[in-house]
Amino acid sequence: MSAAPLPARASPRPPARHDLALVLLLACASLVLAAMVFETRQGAGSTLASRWLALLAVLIAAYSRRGLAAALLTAAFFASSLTPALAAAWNTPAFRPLLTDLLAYGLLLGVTAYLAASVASFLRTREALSGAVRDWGALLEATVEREELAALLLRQAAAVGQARGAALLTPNPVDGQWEAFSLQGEALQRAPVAGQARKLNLAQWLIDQGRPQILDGLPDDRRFILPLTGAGQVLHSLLAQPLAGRDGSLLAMMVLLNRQTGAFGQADFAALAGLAEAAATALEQAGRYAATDHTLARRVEQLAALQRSARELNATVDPQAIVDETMACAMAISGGQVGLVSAEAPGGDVVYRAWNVQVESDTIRRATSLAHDAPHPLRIPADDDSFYSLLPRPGLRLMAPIRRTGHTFGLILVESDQPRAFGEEALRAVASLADHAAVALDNTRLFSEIVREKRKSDEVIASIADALLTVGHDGQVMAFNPAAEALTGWRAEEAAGHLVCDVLGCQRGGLCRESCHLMRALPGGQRVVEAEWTLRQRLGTQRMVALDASPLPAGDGQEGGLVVLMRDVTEAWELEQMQGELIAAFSHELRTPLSIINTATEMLLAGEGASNSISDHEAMLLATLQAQTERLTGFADRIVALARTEEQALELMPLPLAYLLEDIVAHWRGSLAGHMLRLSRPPAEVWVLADARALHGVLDALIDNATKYAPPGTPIELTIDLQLPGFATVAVCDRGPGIPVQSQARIFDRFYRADAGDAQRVYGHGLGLYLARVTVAQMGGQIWLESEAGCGSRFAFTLPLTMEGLDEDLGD
Amino acid sequence: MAKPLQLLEITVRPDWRELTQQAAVQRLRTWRAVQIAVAGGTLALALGRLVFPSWPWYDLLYLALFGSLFWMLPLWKVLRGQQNVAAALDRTGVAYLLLLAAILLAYVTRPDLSAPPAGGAPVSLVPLLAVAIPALTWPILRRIRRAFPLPVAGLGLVGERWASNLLIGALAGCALGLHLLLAVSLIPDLAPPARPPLAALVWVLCYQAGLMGLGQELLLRGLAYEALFSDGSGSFAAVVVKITLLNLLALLALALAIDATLLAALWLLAYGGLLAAVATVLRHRQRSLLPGIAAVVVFNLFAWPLFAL
Repeated sequence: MSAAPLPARASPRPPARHDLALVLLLACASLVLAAMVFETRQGAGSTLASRWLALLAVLIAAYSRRGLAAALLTAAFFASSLTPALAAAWNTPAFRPLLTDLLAYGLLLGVTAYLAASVASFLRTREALSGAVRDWGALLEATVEREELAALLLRQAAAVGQARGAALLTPNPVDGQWEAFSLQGEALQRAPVAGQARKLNLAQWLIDQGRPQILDGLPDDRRFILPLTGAGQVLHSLLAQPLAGRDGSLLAMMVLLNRQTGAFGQADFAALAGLAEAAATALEQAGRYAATDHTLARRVEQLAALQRSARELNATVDPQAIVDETMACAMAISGGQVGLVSAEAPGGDVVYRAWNVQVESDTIRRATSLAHDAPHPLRIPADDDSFYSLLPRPGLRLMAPIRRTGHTFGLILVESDQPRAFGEEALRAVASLADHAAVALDNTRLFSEIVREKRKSDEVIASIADALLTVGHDGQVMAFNPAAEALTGWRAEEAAGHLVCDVLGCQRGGLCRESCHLMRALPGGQRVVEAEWTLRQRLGTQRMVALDASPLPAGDGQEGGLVVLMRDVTEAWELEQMQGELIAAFSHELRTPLSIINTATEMLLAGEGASNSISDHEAMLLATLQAQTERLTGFADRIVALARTEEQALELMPLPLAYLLEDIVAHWRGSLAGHMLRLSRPPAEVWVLADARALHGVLDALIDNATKYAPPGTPIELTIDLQLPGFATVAVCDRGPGIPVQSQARIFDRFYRADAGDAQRVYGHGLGLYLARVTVAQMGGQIWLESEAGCGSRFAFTLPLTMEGLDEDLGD
Repeated sequence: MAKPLQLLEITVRPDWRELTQQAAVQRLRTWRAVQIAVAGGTLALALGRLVFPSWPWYDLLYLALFGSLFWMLPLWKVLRGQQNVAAALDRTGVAYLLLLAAILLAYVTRPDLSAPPAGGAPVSLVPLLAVAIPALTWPILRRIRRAFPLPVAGLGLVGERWASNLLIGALAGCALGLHLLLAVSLIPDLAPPARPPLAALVWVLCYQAGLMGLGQELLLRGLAYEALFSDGSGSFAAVVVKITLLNLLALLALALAIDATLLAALWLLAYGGLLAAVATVLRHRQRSLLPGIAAVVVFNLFAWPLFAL
């Protein structure tokens, strides 16, 4: 540890002006002494005239900071110049005169020093007093705390006025109520001036007088109540000095109590004048500061209460809770004494909360009706009787309607018996609170509407005969209607949270997520439509359902999902199966006897095995029998073909479409007599993915259809085009009578024949177009009709292009 | 571990109490050293006068003894424990010191010093040689002050408001000197002092301002004052008394050295004590050693014709 020296003493040295005074004193002393030495050298002896100049140095010293001491020291310094000569004159006749001279000279210098120091002290005190007043003014102006300022004023006023005590009566800048400050020892006391009305309130009387006055000889009977004079302190006399503001208004009343010596007089007013002027300025400034400070603090409290209340209001949809919170916040931010908040709840009920007051239902109704008429938040003075009042004698009321988008929910009413209780800030804060409450009540209304709408939709969903369930983005079931419960055997609460595959009885096990159509459709939001979907119920029974799963839109932070609608088609499916099997069996069983009949008929017509030739009439009957047998056989063949078509799988392979169509056209040209068959094809070959035999069947059905209905001599046109991307379109156009619009939608149905007036003339079973639709669909295409009555028909179907055909299509 | 006490922006060292006590002990030792040195020097001169009353070199002994005392103690105090003392007092400084010693040796060994220079005898000396004394000592002090400003400032050698300080000191010395002249002039039996030659005034001025007066102030108003009153504790009047008494002891040695008469010794002690008190007050008031130096120098200009100081 280093023992470094501590810093030297840091007391300030005297200012430069004190140096100048010392220089002046020393120079004066030196000059005086020099003059005295010079006079001595000139032979003046001990009686020097120049020694009177020492008085000048004494006077200068007397006016210095140390005053009397410096002056006496200077006097002694000059007087001491004679002492050596006195010592030298010891035991000589000159001793006595020298001693007398020295004493006289020393006395003169000493008296001069004393008088000069006294005068200097007086002047310095006077200067210090004036400086102190200036300093006091600066100090008071720098003091902005009312309490601190009051304490300073009271101490100084009591000192200046030589009083035993002092009081300061001044209005509170916040509420305007007069208060009295006084000092009890070092502690500042404060009390309201108003009160104790049964006795004469001297403080209030002084304020009412508002002028300077002196009261002496006050009786000691305790009739006068001056706040804060202190218990046991008897008031004999007082001096009241009003402090006026710049506008002449009474800012405060400074009161001096019980003069220490003598009685208060006009001189005390003069002594207090400087202090009173500075005090008035300081009080005015402190009042503004206190008012501003209070306003800011009040504003911060209001904002904090509003923020807290806004959070509470946003967090609830209970109207009663909203009203309670609004009432508490309104009282906190306004400072009112009583209050009422009423609001209309969803459903028409009125909820309310009263604060420190009892209200009747009629009161609430009247107040709420007045809120509907109030255009905006407003302060209602005491003399306005048009509005309802909670207090018997209200000083000021503050009302804010709770209103949003033109709808008035209720009102906030706050009252106080003070006429200036609510400022503009309180009005704005309560208005802001009313806005918050209106939003909360509107949210309550919207929430109740949502609840009502949800209840409705739940009822609608519950009443749907089809099974409906919703699936989340993760494949878990979210909602389940009763029909779904009945269909799947799961209860809604059990199904919620389970995978849809489990609920629908998917048999794919762990591969479900990868292979199930529903699960695969979830990420992409695709629609899934299945005419026949095998559903395994919870108890293991299988049902056939038609399934339509539509994606739920994602957005606003919500993940997508599916709405799955299922209809139990098990009975229809079984019936259709039975129908198909019956028809197939019937056709198969019919064809065998028909073939035998047909063979027998042909043999009879050919005369084989007959002993006698048949007559013409018998031949005609046999021919008719053969024709009808062939017709019935054709029908049976169609039925069998239909069954095969529905059952057997096609063998799809790349085929040259144009080549096939040329072959078919060539075949048909050979058998057609009355129609012109044309083919329009692209110059390059078109490769499609199809089954050759099935394609033949489709085109045979369409060309056969055209030849049946088109008038003889009209052309039948076959076209191939590549307009649709990825597909080749084959069209068969005729100039026939066309198909009525009402029949076009069902023209591809099984056993359906359009009623164009010739249905009975043209033979058919209503199966050709049905088979064509089924076959085209199996090959991955679509078939449609474009027809207009009297203008012919155009049957077109598409076939998917192979990669080769697709390349050529793109190349073209 | 407790944090050191924080007072506003000042961090008080945790060992401040020990440091304060050490510094107080150090100051007490310094004050005792000064007392012992001055008393010892005076006692040596007194014993010498008593044993060898006719020995002619007491003034030279006074110069060597008290010159060393006045200068060595303050410089020892300043330089003690300092780093880089050799660098601060490099060859130039040493050369200055050697030159100063040569000048003093040349002066004191000159032939007319065989008799003591009392009685107002004129001094025939080359003024330029005397001017060289302060011209050598003040730069040395300045060099030390630059190297170690804080301890030198503790002795009172500060440049702040130097003009007013010098003026106040000079006027104080002037007033005191004129008071002495006036007092002497008012005694009818006493012959008025003769007007001194210019060379003698120059010698007194340089001798006091560059060597003895300056050294005396460094020791008494510098080192002793700092040892007694640097912490501001105690009575200032007691400090004035103590320093004045010590100064009177040194003046007694001077009176013995110059073999002054009883009356002259009384005059010397009276006015020397007064001057010591005034210089101490000025040192305290002005926080500087300059007023005291100026007062001593100017007063000696007035007093030399009387006492041949």
